[in-house]
Amino acid sequence: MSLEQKAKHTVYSTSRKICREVGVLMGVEYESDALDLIAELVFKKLCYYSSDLEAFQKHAKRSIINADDVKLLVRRNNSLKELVETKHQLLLANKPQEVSSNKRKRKTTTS
Amino acid sequence: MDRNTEELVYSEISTVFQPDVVKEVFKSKFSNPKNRVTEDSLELICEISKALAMEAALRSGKIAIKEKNSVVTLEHVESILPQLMLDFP
Repeated sequence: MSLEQKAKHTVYSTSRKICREVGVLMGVEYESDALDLIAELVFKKLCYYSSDLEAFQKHAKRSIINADDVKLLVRRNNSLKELVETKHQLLLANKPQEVSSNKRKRKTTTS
Repeated sequence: MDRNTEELVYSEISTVFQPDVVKEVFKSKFSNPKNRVTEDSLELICEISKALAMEAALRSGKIAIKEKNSVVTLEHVESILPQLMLDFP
């Protein structure tokens, strides 16, 4: 199995797992067809996000996708925007100490 | 289920998407293999995907409960799809 297929299957199983967890909290069960549909939806959406984000970074004349591109992606849904922004703030707050050590580690492993 | 319980459910779910997996999916879909993604944005995309999966599960579960069914079928999920597609980018 190629890496691409493995990634696809992992996305599928993760979204199924999330659905089952929600089901336990709500006291309902999901048919396997329903789980498959949701998993397929999540994967397809991920693919669309990748092409959208690629277009955004190209438009900004960059070759790296950053958090601003993601914020642009979710601009129309206010609650999602809020979620992304709080998460981003959290990531920025946790970052400073780790960044330098991570970079150093990666350089030594790749060289 | 009202708004508060939904937010509670959101924090209860421990399963998350792994950034590495999302990165792999993205890499396979990029037209230019030189494009890269920052760690931050991967985390954010994981969060969005989690929200999408949860929202699909929550909404279809709600429909099933409304019909006094304890099993969510394909029809229930299908009925919430149009609005879900509009709500998520």
